[in-house]
Amino acid sequence: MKSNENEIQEMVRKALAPVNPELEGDLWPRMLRRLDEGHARMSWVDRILLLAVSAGIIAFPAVIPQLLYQL
Amino acid sequence: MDTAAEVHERAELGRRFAAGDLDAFETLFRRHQGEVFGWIVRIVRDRTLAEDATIEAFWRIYRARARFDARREFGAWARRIATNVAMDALKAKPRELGGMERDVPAAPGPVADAWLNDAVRRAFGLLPAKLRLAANLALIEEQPNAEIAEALGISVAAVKSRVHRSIALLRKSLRRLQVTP
Repeated sequence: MKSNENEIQEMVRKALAPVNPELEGDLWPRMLRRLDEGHARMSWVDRILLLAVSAGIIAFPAVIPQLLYQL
Repeated sequence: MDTAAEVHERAELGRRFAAGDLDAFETLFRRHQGEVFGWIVRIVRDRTLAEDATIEAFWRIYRARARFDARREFGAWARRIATNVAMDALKAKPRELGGMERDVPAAPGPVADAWLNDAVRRAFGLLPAKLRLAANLALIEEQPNAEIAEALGISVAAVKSRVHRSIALLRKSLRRLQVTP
């Protein structure tokens, strides 16, 4: 049984050679782009909040001076 | 053996990273990108896919930074996340080696090497992602079971069981093709 398993392992190793695990080049520039994209993406919670605040300001423009005062 | 200064520097770097310091993240990225890529490419066996998965793994690492415990080894934590990303990539990757029963003709007389290798590759590609991952790392890449277990978050016995099941499934698939080891 064990030798049979070894034979299958041998067949697998013959058919699928180990890959070269070395990284060629630096991935940091791509990572930076991914970070920028990620920060630019707005979550649905943020979108809903922004929409609610905008709708509130349009419906009740009188709150604008109060909001500015609070800031 | 690491010196006390090195241990302190690593812990400090980990603390800064967990607090959201981008420079600390860059330092950790540059230190560990090769190791993470190497681990992922061993699993997915595709360099382009592995580069994309490395970026995705570090993106998940960055998002989870607040949960990182600076007393822990960053490399081991990163490898665990990288394994999950690689597993997702394996599941999403179309089984280009699949369709063995349909595509592979019956073995002609003495089995030619090329035909045999193709049959084994197809049989391997048909393994479920979980088993393929374990078999890939254990049988082809010859990674220690303990390392595979740690990266998968399972016991060494579970790794051995997955490898054993992979071999049983491979044997079954190959038998259907009249290939008997």
